[in-house]
Amino acid sequence: MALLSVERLSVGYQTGKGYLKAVENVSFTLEEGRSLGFVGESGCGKTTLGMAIMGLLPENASITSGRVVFAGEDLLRKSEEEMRGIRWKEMAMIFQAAMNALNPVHRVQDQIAEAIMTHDPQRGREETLHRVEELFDLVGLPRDRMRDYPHQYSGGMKQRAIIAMALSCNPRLIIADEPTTALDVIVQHRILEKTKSLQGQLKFGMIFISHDISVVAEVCDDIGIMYAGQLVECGPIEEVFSAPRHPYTAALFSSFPSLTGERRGLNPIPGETPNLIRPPSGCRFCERCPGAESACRLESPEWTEITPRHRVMCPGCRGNSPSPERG
Amino acid sequence: MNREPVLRLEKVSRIYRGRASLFGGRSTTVKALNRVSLSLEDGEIFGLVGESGSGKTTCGRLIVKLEEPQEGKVFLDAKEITDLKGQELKAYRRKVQMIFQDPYQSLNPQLSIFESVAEPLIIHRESAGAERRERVLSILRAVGLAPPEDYIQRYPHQLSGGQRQRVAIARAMVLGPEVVVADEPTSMLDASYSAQIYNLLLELRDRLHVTILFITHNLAAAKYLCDRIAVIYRGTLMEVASAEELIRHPKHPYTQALIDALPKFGHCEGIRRYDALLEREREGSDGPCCPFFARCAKARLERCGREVPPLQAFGSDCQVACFCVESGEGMETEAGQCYFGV
Repeated sequence: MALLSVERLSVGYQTGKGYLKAVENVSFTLEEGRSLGFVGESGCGKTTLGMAIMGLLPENASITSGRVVFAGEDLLRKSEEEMRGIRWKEMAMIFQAAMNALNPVHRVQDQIAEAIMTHDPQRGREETLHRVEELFDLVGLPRDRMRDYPHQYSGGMKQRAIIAMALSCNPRLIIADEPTTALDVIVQHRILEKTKSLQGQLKFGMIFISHDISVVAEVCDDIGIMYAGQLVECGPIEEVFSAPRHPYTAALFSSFPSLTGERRGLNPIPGETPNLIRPPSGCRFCERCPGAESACRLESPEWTEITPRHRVMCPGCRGNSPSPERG
Repeated sequence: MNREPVLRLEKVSRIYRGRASLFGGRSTTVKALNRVSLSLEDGEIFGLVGESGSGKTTCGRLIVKLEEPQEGKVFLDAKEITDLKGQELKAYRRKVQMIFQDPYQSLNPQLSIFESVAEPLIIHRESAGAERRERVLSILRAVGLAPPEDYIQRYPHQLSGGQRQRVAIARAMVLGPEVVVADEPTSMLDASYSAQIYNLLLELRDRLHVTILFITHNLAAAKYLCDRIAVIYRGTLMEVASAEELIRHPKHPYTQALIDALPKFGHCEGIRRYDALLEREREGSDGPCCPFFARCAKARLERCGREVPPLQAFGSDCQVACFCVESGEGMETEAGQCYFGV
């Protein structure tokens, strides 16, 4: 059974200018112990998706349709009370700008201990602090820094502390939303390596949200590309990278400069992302798509299965040869 | 390309003195730039790459005279500019412009796009009336906001981040400067907009013949845009070389560590790792030492911990500040095709 399966989920926000469809008809499954990375530009709905799964959407958001099935149970039917029992214990989140997620006036060890004791009140303080020690070892923080306050930590150490906190109750699912965005490359590299090795060791499922394709490529098994609120392509990393099928995926890949090999021209995507209050009919990418046909503007595209694990939402892909192989 | 240096920094230092804390802590000094010397050649895009806090932004701010160096000299066209005042300073500002990091903050929200771009022309009393309007329209066209008539009446909040950054670039370019300092112009933008901005900078360099100092933390972007790259660490230049050479044959252990740390994907199995970074930092020495000493896996304890390595020429177009390279250790590598991100 899949650990998490999201079925035709749609989320919108009530805004001053109208109803904004932030996530529309997104479906995917995540197997136990695997990692899935969502990539897309700002405003594509990737953070909203993560928040919807955790049940942490802001007041003005509403889920209009769909199901979020976690370990066989539909989370959208749970009460707030029930969700509180699941959150952190069963699924934990590493937030964007996690360095600001620590409370500056409490010692780091106490903050992690609090997370543990909230979900397991029977546990004594001694035992809890012992668990915190284990977690510090696990994420590679020195034990003698347990009694420090957050401001005494560097950015990378804070991020490790946040990861320790997320792991504190042995969750089965971790949602990481841009966990390394504010960090320097060398620190980012160490955190990503740690995350990957922890995942192999503890076998939790992971959803990794990032704007940076290469970061997702480094840590995840599968990748999902989002554009304007829709999931447009989903599949194993190697397959999607070597033969991207959706024109947006291909365009996004060629917007990233390459470090080695020939200095090739970048092909930026022309135009702007569509307005999600009045999204265009038909395919949302067709305005910017080099291969758009008149049919693309009329009907909403359906999923096309390329291989059992690799699917793409583009009408032009049916029967077409894949985009030229990169590499 | 003409090989005359347009802009030259000579042993420039900038030190920030922190105030003693309220609770009696000692005041601290931070050497944001430590005797940095570099020169920008006419019409080149020069990349300054470093991590946060390495002094790269300070360097850019010194060049546009938003800050003053405590030591050292800055030259534009072989003329010293350190003590410029009044009219001379104004004339200097006309020649050296800056593109800031955040287009959401660098544009005045109360000015229309036309007013924003025309402002430098007004300040420098250049052209008027129909001629001024034509200059604004043509620079907007040059930065890819076409047709410009659609944009001039709008305000920054009506534009996307990428369009705003184009306006900021137009504002920097409208006076026809000799040198433009671009401080992380794409760090607030999405990948597809970043790529548009990179291509725009390349195009403007060729068309308007402007020299650009491109400040970034992204080695891959620097490789794409720049002719030469300098790597800066804790206010000290570690390596200066042509972009190709620096990426393919990095000589300084810090540059190697940066390249190791970039996320890799693609056919990277055969790629060489340099392993120049220590797993755990070693005790730094109190006296003068190489800035990278505490983290360097290749450091020699006798020398690197006691002396500061000077930036020395190494081969034709390459300078490195490292004792290990001096002694000529083999650092050859052949990298495979990989994808690297931001």
